Amino acid sequence: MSTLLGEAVKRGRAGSPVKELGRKTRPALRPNGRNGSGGGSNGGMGGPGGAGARAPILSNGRVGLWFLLGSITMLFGGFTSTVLVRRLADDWSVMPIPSMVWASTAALILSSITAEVARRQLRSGRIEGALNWISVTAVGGLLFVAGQWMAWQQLLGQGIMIQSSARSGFVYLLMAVHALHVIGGIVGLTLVYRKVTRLRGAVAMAAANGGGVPLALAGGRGAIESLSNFNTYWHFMGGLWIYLLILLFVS
Amino acid sequence: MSTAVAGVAQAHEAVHHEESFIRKYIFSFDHKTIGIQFLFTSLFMGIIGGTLALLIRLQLAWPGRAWPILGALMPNAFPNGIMRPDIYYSLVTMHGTIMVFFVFTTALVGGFANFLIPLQIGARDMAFPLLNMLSYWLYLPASIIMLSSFFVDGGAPGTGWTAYPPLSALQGAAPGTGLGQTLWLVALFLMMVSFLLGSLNYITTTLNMRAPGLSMSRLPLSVWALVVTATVSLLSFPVLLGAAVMLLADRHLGTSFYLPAGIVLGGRELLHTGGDPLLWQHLFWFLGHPEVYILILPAMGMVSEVMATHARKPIFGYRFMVGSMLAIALLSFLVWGHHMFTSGMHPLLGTAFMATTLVIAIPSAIKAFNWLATLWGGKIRFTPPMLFAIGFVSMFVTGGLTGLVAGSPPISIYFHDTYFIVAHFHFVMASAALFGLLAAVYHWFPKMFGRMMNERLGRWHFWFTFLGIYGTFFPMHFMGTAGMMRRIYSPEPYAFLADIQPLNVISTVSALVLGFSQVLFLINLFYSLFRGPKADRNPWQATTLEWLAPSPAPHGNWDEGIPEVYRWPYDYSVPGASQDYIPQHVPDVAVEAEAPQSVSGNGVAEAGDSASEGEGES
Repeated sequence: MSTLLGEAVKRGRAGSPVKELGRKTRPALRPNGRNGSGGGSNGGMGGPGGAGARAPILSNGRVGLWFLLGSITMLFGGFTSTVLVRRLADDWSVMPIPSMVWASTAALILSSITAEVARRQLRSGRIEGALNWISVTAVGGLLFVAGQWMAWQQLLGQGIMIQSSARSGFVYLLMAVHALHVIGGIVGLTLVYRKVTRLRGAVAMAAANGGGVPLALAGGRGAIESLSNFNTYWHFMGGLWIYLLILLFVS
Repeated sequence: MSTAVAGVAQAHEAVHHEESFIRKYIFSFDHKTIGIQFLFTSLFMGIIGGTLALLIRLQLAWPGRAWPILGALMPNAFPNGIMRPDIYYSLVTMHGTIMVFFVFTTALVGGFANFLIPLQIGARDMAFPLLNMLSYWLYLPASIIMLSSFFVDGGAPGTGWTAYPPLSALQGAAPGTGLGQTLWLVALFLMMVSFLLGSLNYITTTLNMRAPGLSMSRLPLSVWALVVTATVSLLSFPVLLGAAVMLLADRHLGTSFYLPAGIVLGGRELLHTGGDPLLWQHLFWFLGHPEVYILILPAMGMVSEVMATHARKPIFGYRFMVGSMLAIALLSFLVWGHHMFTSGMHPLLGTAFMATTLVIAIPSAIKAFNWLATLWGGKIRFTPPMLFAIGFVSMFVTGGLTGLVAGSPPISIYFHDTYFIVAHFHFVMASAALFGLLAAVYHWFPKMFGRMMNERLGRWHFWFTFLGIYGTFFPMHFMGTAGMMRRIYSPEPYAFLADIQPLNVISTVSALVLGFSQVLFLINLFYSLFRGPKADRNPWQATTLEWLAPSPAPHGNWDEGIPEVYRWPYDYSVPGASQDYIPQHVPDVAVEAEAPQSVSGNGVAEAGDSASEGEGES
């Protein structure tokens, strides 16, 4: 500790210029520009490496998305731990899978595929096709939510309510929480749709003014990026649902 | 959802125009306005939470005494001026909830992460301004709903800020477990969603929108602290969010997540089967423990910032400061069991939680020693922010030492739910967070409002607060050791507590001094807001980027374009430099050109814009 404090004293009195005059670099121990964006390469001047040199590796939307998915993972991780503890109690019972669940699961998986088709269409510049496939994806999502609702009705028809057993509580609750996230995804998808229609308008205008279409398409990178982000979220929701299916129904 | 907002952010970036009153001050997208909104709402909630604490203290010092004024003001809660027992429990619950979730979390993170991050990293605004606005507009209704539980049938919940089931899960088990508890859960739910939106913003902004040259190893410690805090909250809040949903289901849908079989309520056996109340405790504390670091990490970061600036020295051990924050953040997820040593957990598990708990002492001690080493030999300016920063270290060390005591199961089982624990967390978490917050307010007030706060009043405020806190909470160690339990309406029925009653009186008198001395702060705050002397850009002669912007910073922050960064944030008293500080945006060329002047004794720093002038000369 005494050496640490000694170092502190030295640096605290660093104001006296005479002793330190020859030393143009900074005191030891301090982080310099080496980790910066090429700052250290220009003769130790620790410069910024030129304006705009540091482009982020991932876009804002992408970074936000990954952290959002991390957060959702923790949410369902918390639920999972509860299920694992709760199933040890003696009132944990077997429960049949309502048949509608298979239909809704199929709708969700298919919509993941159509989402991917939409992205490919948009990447290759077929805006009209992309819009159609986006619509198909949204319909798939809505079908999933409707299917889950009908699965609930099937359960209620069999007299299984949320308070009936420990397992039914989790089934209803986790299906609802997951469906809310899917609905959130569909809302996001409508915003992506709007973005792509705006891109369509820009391309049409460029074509009308003669040429410049590739340029307008280049401006479509934002739309492609948004759709890619949506797709990641959507695939995550699909995977999450299959995970929940196993967690909830396989005893 | 975030994808769509990115587009809005870009569109917003392009046009920083004059705005209507509503866009500028109410539904604002501007990170500074949102930060100030968070800060002032938290301040208002803090006044309420503090008042509740004073009522609690009155009852404990003079149990059963009639207070005619209170009886006249609140005839229901104080019939004949005497506090009703169930009101006491509501006060305890609401004081804890409001202070933890609605004052410190929101002021330190909602307030300062919003205000500081874009300014300190040289950005024009947050990555997702729309989410940012939503985050405040979820917090405000959450606060209103939380307070409204006082006025509904049955009153505010009295289940403690931890809301343990079965009590919290059974409607009608006690006054306040009806609508009051439901509102409490809904308010907490909204507040957590608000926080998640905010955290997404803070992390993305810090990772993606730093000014050219500002690598992560050049970030001010305050930004490091805030972004680590955001990560911790992003990963811990969802768990409590899920737990709260399950508690709501148990309350309103008849499920049995937490409710075991055989509960008899009102002479009737309930239908619940097989639930486990301990599940809630695990889920709650999985958030609850990171939550205390969500309070203390931002305070630590901002105190480091204030301390370096006002000691005119580089922060000691920058890398260790960052590393210890990361270590604390990681460990915060592994220690929740130390709140549950008396829950019947396996002793081996208890020992594991003890080990992880005590390990936190290492990064904490690193930080404490680094602050002391930063002060050592510095040219300390004892301004109000500096006083509060030093006070922070005192609170943190006092509370941290009792943390070592309370962290080991054999001792913790004795101290569990006694005033020793109350003393411990009021020092390490509450008082330390309060001091960090006040240091930050005094330090960044000039940047927020373009005016200086009164130093003399600030010093008086500091000394009253400092002594008030030690007077209030230090005696509680002895009360707890003597066996005084937490959350008792009155110590009177217990003969073994009779001898320590004078300590309760000391504690209450100090709490009143502490409470009323905050009026000095409020006067200072509001007077300075309108009448304080005008602040120039860099009144503290600090190095970080926010001091390059005008005071107050305009919409879009930078009037001379986005700054470039050439150095770390703590170039104070650099040998050979003409001033005792070199701002982050000053290139080395400029410093070297000036170096000879420093020999001729021109070393005294000038206030204000001298830094940017220095850059111009180069």
